Amino acid sequence: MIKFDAVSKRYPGGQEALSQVSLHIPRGDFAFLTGHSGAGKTTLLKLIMQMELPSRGQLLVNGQNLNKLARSQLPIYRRQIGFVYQDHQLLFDRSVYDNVILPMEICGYDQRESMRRVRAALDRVGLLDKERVNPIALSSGEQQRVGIARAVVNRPALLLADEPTGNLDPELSAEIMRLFQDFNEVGVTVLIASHDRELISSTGKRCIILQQGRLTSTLRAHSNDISEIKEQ
Amino acid sequence: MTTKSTTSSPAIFSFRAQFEQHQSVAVDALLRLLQQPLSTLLTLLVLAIALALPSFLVLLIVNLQAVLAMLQEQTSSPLLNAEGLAISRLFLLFAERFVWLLSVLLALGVLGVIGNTVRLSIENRRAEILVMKLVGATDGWVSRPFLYTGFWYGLGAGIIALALVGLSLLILAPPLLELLRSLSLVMTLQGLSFNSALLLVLCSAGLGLLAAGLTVLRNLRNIEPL
Repeated sequence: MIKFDAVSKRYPGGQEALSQVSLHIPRGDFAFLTGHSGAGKTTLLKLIMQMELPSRGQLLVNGQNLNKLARSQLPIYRRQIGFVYQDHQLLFDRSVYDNVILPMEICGYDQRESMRRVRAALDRVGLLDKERVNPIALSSGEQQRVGIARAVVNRPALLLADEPTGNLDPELSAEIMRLFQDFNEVGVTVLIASHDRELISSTGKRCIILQQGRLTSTLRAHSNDISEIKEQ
Repeated sequence: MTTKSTTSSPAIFSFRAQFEQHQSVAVDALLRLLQQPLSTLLTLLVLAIALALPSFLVLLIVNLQAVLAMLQEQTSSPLLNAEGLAISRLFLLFAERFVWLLSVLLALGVLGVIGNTVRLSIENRRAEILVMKLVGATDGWVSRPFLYTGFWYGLGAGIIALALVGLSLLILAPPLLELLRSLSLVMTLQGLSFNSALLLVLCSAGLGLLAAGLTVLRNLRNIEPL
């Protein structure tokens, strides 16, 4: 699903955010991306979203070589990816419902189908009763769930999340994680950037560790391994 | 013999769905304009004056030409001899060209004002555009509401301009006709014909669309999620 082949990213200032990263995430996988802040987690996700372009190396997502992706193909490419942001990126000039329906409108679904899917997505994240509310009136955890509903409403093949539990207490975090696992169970490939080691180890999923822009290891997340990494 | 009903074909369906979607975007753009009544009204008024002025001057010239033609028929006119008539005609030719030039300049002004309004509207909705692009909106999809904004401004200004021209004629006609009658010239003033009125409104809407299109081309590409 995602294949990095010796990908490097150097920012104009000369700082190398990623160097020679090669990794493979198969279709239907659930993986975490972890490392200290500044290790290149966000850059890696941005490269997949094509919000940044790699300086060197090749990047394949869902069989598409991103180096060969024309600017005009970019919107269509992005439609197969759902992205959950730490700061939610919701629009506060419209209701929860109108936030979630946005990808459906953009993809040109007819109204009835859109409505059905928006309701299903909101139901999935437990916010069906808040569909008419402005997201500004919601708690941080609820806003995050609206963000997740928007990311999954058009059934993307790939779901990315950048610190989705960053501002949430452990209980809410676990709840959000369960949601991601549910989506993974129906075949969605999930990649989550997080530095919440406890949460990662509690899921027992694959963990990709970045240190100063380099891939140091990938392993099954168990508390022992994670603490080893910590000591390195 | 069986005939396949065309209304049920998927192509028609998708066309209708698209049409309805366009319609709702157009209505949204209009509603957004109406939500800021003061600034929208002021902008529309400035635009309408810029559009009405050349139309009004053209009408004035057309009517003066008619007056000259009547004077020429009255060979014994106490007002103008042959020489005077020729000079007046030359003056009107000059005035005509002047109005053309003025129209072009004012049209550029209209482009600028609508373009700037659309640019501000794009800036105001920057966050929204970024989110839309991140969930896979094409440039075309993102630019549509702004194109409608430009179109509505153009159309609205054109209609107000038409009203302004009509109103000025209504106010100015009685004393002017009185004056002409005292010179024993009996005529009716020529107003905007239906076709010219239509042309004014269409040109104005077209200018609005053009202004929005140019602005969108210049500004929307730069808003990329980073």
